[in-house]
Formats: sequence, C-alpha cells, structure tokens
Amino acid sequence: MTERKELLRVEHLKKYFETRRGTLSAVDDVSFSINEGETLGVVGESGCGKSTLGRAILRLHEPTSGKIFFNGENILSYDKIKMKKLRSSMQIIFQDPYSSLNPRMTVSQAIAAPLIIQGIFRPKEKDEIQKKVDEMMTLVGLAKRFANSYPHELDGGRRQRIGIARALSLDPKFIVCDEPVSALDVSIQAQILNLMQELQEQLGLTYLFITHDLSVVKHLSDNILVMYLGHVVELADSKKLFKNPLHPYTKALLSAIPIPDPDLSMERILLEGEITSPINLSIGCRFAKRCSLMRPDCLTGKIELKEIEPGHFVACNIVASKFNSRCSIGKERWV
Amino acid sequence: MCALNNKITVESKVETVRDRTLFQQAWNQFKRNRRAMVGLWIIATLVFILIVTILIDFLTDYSIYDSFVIKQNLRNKLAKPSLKHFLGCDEFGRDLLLRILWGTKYSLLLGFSAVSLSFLIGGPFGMIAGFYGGKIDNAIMRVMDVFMACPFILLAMAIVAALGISTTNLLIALGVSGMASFSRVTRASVMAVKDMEYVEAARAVGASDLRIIVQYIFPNAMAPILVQITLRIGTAILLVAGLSYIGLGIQPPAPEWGAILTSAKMYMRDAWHISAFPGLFLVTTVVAFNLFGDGLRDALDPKLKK
Amino acid sequence: MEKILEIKNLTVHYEIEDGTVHALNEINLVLEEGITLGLIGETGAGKTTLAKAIMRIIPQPPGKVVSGEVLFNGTNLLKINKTAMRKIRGEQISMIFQDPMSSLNPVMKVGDQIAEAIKTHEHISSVEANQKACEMIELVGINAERMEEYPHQFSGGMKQRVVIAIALACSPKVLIADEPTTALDVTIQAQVLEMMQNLKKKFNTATILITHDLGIVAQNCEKAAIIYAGEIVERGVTREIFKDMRHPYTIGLMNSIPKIHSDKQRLSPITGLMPDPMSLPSGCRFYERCKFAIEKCKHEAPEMVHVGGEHWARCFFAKSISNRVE
Repeated sequence: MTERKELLRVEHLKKYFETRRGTLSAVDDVSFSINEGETLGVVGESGCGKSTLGRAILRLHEPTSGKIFFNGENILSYDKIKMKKLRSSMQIIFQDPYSSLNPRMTVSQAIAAPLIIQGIFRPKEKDEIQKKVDEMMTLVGLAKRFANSYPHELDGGRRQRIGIARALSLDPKFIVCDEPVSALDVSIQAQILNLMQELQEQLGLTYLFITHDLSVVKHLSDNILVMYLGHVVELADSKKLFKNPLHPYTKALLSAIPIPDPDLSMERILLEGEITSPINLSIGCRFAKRCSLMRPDCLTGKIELKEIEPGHFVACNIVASKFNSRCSIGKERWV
Repeated sequence: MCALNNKITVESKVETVRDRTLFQQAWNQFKRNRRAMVGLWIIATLVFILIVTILIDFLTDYSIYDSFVIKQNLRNKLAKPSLKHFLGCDEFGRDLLLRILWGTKYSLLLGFSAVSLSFLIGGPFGMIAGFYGGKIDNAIMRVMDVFMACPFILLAMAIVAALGISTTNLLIALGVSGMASFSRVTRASVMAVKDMEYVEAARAVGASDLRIIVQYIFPNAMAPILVQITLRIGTAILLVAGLSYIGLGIQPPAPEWGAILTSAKMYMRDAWHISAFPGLFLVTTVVAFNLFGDGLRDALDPKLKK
Repeated sequence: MEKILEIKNLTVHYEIEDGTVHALNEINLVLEEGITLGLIGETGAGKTTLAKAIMRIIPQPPGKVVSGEVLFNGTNLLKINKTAMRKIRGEQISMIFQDPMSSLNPVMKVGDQIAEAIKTHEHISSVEANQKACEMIELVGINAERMEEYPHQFSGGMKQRVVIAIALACSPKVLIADEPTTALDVTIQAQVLEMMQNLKKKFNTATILITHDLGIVAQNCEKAAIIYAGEIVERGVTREIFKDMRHPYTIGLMNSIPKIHSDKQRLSPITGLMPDPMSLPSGCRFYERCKFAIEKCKHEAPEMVHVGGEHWARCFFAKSISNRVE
C-alpha cells in the first residue's frame, strides 16, 4: 500500500458560541488528521458537535481557536481572497436535500452556480457551462432530462445527487459530508452511499463523513472519530473500533443499534438519563454522569486522548489506567 | 466511467417531467382559485378603464374631460339615475358615471405608486436589517418603530402641512407612512431565508454577501412581499380616498372618488346616489385587490402543499 | 391467541385535483392479543395511511375508503357511528406519531395532558385522574415532579415517553406506533424501545409498530409485514421472514442496508424508485426494480402465495426464491 499524503490536519480546534445563558462549547479541543483519498467518519448523537466541526473546518463558522492545516498550510491565517480560492478545493454536501437547494434555481443553474461564482466560467459562456453541467449530471447518475427541473419536482434521492454534483463541480479534493443519507429512504440511501464510494475511488476524494449511524460509517470509513458533547471520546481505525470499542459511550452506541437478525442481539448497554446541556460545561469527563464506570475523579480531572493500542485513542482515565497508556496525540502521526 | 453509467437510476416510464417555469406553475395554481380570478378580472377591468380614460384625454387634449367631467350643467343638478345618466348626476349636474370612471386613474395610480414607494424605501432597509442582524438590525427597526407609532392621518397631515397640498406630496406622505410595515415584512422574510442551507451552500462556494442577497435570498423572500404589496394597494386606495375626503388629497373638481364623496355628504338625504356609487366602486376595488392578494399568496405558497 | 384486530381487503384512495392516489390496495392483516406486529415500509408505501385508516382519521375528502373492513373484536370500525368511534380512540385503540415535537400541546402542562386523556374516557374525578397520570408518568420513566412542566422543557426522548404515557393511559387493547423512534438518537431509541417492551408485558397491549428500520422489527416484533406501493408484499412470523425472505423487495431491502456484522464492501441497492401512486403499473408493482422479473410480471399482478406456516409473499416466484445465505 502506497504511503498516503496527509491532506487535512486539525489541531486543538475549538468553536464556542456565546449565548445568553452562557458559553456553548460546541467543539472543544478536537484534533485529528486525514490522508488523501481516505474517509474519516465522525460519529455522535445530537448535540455532540459533529456538524459544527464540519462547518468550522470549512470556516463556515469561524473557529474560536486551534489550527487547520490543508496541504500543509494553516488556512485560519488566510485572508478573504485566499479563502475564496481555497473553497474550490474544500466542499460540503448537506443532510437535507430539501433545504440545501435554492428552490428558484433549476438543476443546471444549481450545478453551474459554483463555476460562475469562482470565475471558472463567465455567465456568457453558456455552451461550456452546459457541457460541464452535463458531465456532472452523468457523473452522479442524474438523467439529462432533469436539467431544467426545479428541486421540488424531484424526489429526495435525486435532489441529493444534485447536491453531490454541485459539490463536485469545482473538482474539490476534500468534501465534508454532513449526514448525506440520513434524510433518505433506505433503498435510496444505499444508492447514494455506493455512488459516493465510487466517486471517491474514481476521483481520489477525501471525505469527512459525519453521521449518527454507526452501520453506515463502518461501511464507508477508514478511521472513525466518536464525539460526545464537543469532545473526542474515541479515535481509531474502523476495524479496530468495531472489533474492540473501548470507551463506555462507544460501547453503548454500538449496543444500541438494532440488528436486523432476530437471533442476534447485542448485549444492551442502556444509558441512564439524557444528554446534558452543552452550556457552561465544567472540566472533567462530559459523559461521566451517564457512565456506569464513573469514579469521583472523572468529574474533576483533566481527560485526555491517550493511545491505548497503536492507532487507537480513547479519552477515558479508567480505560487508560487499565492499559499502559502511551503518549497523547499531537506528537505522533497516527495510522 | 463505464461502471458509473450502469448505476444511473432507472427512468420510470410513468414519470412525467413537467418542464414549466416557476411562474407558469404559480399561474396554474392561481387560475384554479375562482375568487382570486374574480379579483383579477375586476382589476383588469379597472386597468382597462384607466388606460381608456388616459388615452381619451391624450387624444382629445382633455376636451371630453372638460366638457363632460368638469363642466357644470346646473339643469341636471342632482338628477336621479336614468337612461340618459346611468348613475345620475352630481350637485353640479355632471354625469356621475363619467366622473367615477375618470376618477379610476387617481385611485389606481396613486395607490400603486404609494405602495411602490413604501416598498422601495422600506424594503432595502428591511433586507439589510434582516441579513446583518445585531446592532444594524436594532438601529433600523427602532427608527421604523417611530414611524409605526405615528397614526397615519396625523403623519400625512404633518407632511402635507409642511410641504403643501399637491399630488406629489400626497404620494410622499403615503409612501413614507407605509415604509415601516414593509421594512418589517421584508426583514421577517429575509430572516426566514438567510439560515437556509442553500444559502450556506452558496457561502461554501465563495459567494459574496451581495450575490447571496440578490440571487439567493431576494427571490425566495419575495413571495410574502408580493402578497403584501397587492394587499396594501387596497389600503392605499382607501387612504387616498380618505385624505381627499378630508381635503388633504386630490382637490375638486378632479373626480377622485374620495373627493366626490366629500361633496356628496351634504346631499346624502336627497341624492343618495352621489355617495353610494363612488362608495361602491371603492369597496369593489379594495375587495378585488384583497381577493387577488389572497389568491397570490396561495399560489406562491411553496410546493409543500402536496 | 385471540384476534383483536383484523383488516380485510382494505382499499383506500385519495381523490385530488391531478388524479386519484391509490394509497392502499386490498390490505389483509391480522393482529393478535399481546403481539407486536412490525409494519415495514418506506416513504410513500402507505403505512401511515393504513394507521390512519384503522383509526378512521383520514380526512374524508380527499380520502375515500373504497372497500374493505377493519374488524376490532369483530366490530367493523368503518361502519360504526362517529360517537362510538370516538369512544374507541384513545381508550381501546391508541396511536402515537413520529414527531414528538408537534404531538404535544405546547401550552398545556404535561401532567394535564395525560390526565385529560384519562378524563375523556373514564368517569373519574380530577383528583383520581391526576393520580393515575402520576402513575403513568413514572411508568414511562419520568419523575412525577415533572408533571407540572411544559413540553418545551423536555428533550425529544422524554417527549416521546410522555406521548406514550398519554397513549397507554387508558390501557388500550391496541397501540399503533407510527415510527415512534425515527426522530430520536440511537441510544435514546434503545431506551424508549426497551421501555415499550416492558410496558407491553405489563399491559399486554397488541401493537402495530410502523417503521422503515429492519433492525427494530427484528429485535422487537414477533410478527412482521412488509408494505410496498400500497400493498402488503410479505407477511408472517418475524423469524421466519428474516431467515427466509421470499419477496424480491424484502430481499433487496435487506441487502441494501449496511450491517455492523458484515464486512461487505459494496451495498447492493435496489435500483429505481417506488412507482407513482397516481399511475400504478397494471402488473406487479415491483416489476421495474426487480432482479427476478420476467415478462409475465409486467402484465399480471401476483396474488399472495402461501409459503408455509403463517408466511405469505406476493410474488410468482415466492416458492423458489429466498435470501438464505449461500
């Protein structure tokens, strides 16, 4: 296997929102890296900050602090002009195929818009634009006869294909996929997931795949990041995570998935209570209150990501103390 | 590439792709609403009358206007409706029907212009307030609040008193007093749209604020604003009539409906027709605009109807 | 086991301006006491229409029950008068909907909403009703102190528990749950489903659990039925179906979901889309998307074929195809 180049590296990324009730730490000290052509799955339930993370990386939300390296350069230092240019390399696919498309634009117009905004074509060059739009539509499996249709005339699956075509029209290297199949029917989900896999292989795309569905993420990801209330709780190679989940939350998440086999049932780890408010969080483990393993020092001590086995990081002092913990993230390149 | 082509979704033969523009789709929806169509027909008739009267004035150099609408003929003073004068005559013997028809242009043109002015002033303010939010929003909206707090008649009287009685000043008075509510409607509309994901998608591609406002927010925020405009024309027409009624608007002998009503009030007991018919025309016009506006709102309602 | 609900040849249409929507076609289903029946279907298959038809809450224009019966303890619910039906709703047959955000009245305290459900059907005093409401709310795992709170103070999972408390307050014989956990996080979903299982054991309520999630059905339902384009295409005992799927749609659905325990590299999606319910094909409704289809399938609509035991499938090849792993 050829040594893959690192494309994106995120270091100690934080995104805080100031609300009337206090500080909402949506993304709190997240670090990871993704190599070219790979997929990092980001998993978590509502309120964990995964969507904010995706948007912060694209600077759709300005990060509060931290560093984001794309192809080796810290993009947080880019000015407006450089950032605009960078946008053609980093794109996003949204969850809701209904609200992510401008209702007043036809399919062609929606796919062509990025090309015009980035100045790749001028509005006058209709033929060249049409050619590129046709190419994109074919690439994502949209029949040409839909070119002049409006989003509301099409079903969810087709709308999502438009979203994908739009994201690809600028030939990006990196795409943030924010729950791209969650709003689709089961049989359509599979079509879109396959499409995304094929596109990745064909075009060498790098994905940050955000989802709450662990079964989807296993299928598509090389590595997985599990988040809870803004923190990374576990980070590992996909196979390792499923074979040997270490963090109590990851275990609970895995066990909660209903398996489509009446004879197989996972040992249910039922969590107590609900997710706590992400506002004005204190130090200590954010999962402690719902954790069956909780000890008093979980609420007071600093919890760090520690490498338990090669390439497998967990943010839990109890788990770490069971193994011989090695150096924390930031110094070593993992995977 | 070949592998991907095989995965193209099956084109179901039962699908029909209706390639109509958004305007055509809205029009189809509108056509089905009978009441709205009645409103549209009435407005169309009024516009027709408007055009015809203006044309006649232009072509005859106001001679017909002068001899039939303005010139007094005291022999027919307060004549009741008859075959010769369908709606009767007013206190100066002038044919009431002709006066009402010639008065159409004031109501329609002034009503429409006033509302347009309100929108042209209030709209951009509302758009900026809605898009940028924060302190800018606060500042603009508080200024608008001051305008909203003033009762319309007082505001109009103040403006006319300051600037003098004339059609232009009437227009300014109406325009300024209506801008506050337009700025609110626009602001609300813009706020509803600006957080939509397709706006985020445009940002993700590097679109500037201006492009986002013009290409993404404005077209999608227009629907409620369009409805407001049509509904407000009805109100504006009533206001024009109202101001003329109290003597601050169009002055007699111009046959503006409100002006006709002013002079008619003295003769209500003997000549009810001079009050009734202009009043009837006013009511019908306003109702027509309301029906049209309602129909427009239903037709433009996003296709979530299904 | 006693049959508590039996649907016979139910056909429902919607007459709209553009044409007729054939929402349900000759549905036949049986629900026994204490059994949970999983109704699996995707968007537009007709599962919500079916639930509403049973409850008789389909708006009568444009909806129209063209034919069929809904027998509850032998009585045809479609024929009884409105007062009698209202008595049955909430008391004998309850329904919970997908979106907990909009199922609760935002201006009424949660405790009052549960008590209201009780008072509507049982002639007891307010005090007694409140008492019962307290018990119900504790049963669904919420602290009784929270009775005085408003819906917006609860999270999605808690709201859904309140909704379940309201639905079960009068100990109905049948509960229809329309995608009760779809809007919830997966760990909360697990909690809520676990709670529903416990309540089922306590009240012995027969349940129709509508969902698109095969996993939920496998883990929670004794019986299952798969609905596609307004028709039941396969039904039977859950274990029998999952081990031995006989309809191409069911097989396709199973192959298209990513599974934790499998290491398959590519999913095998079902190509195409569900047919337009306003212009359904004359033959098999799954013909366009079916891997096994032949010319006959295009022109002739298959009937339900008995595969064995309680297992039926609507396919000409029902006796020969299967998903049994090679």
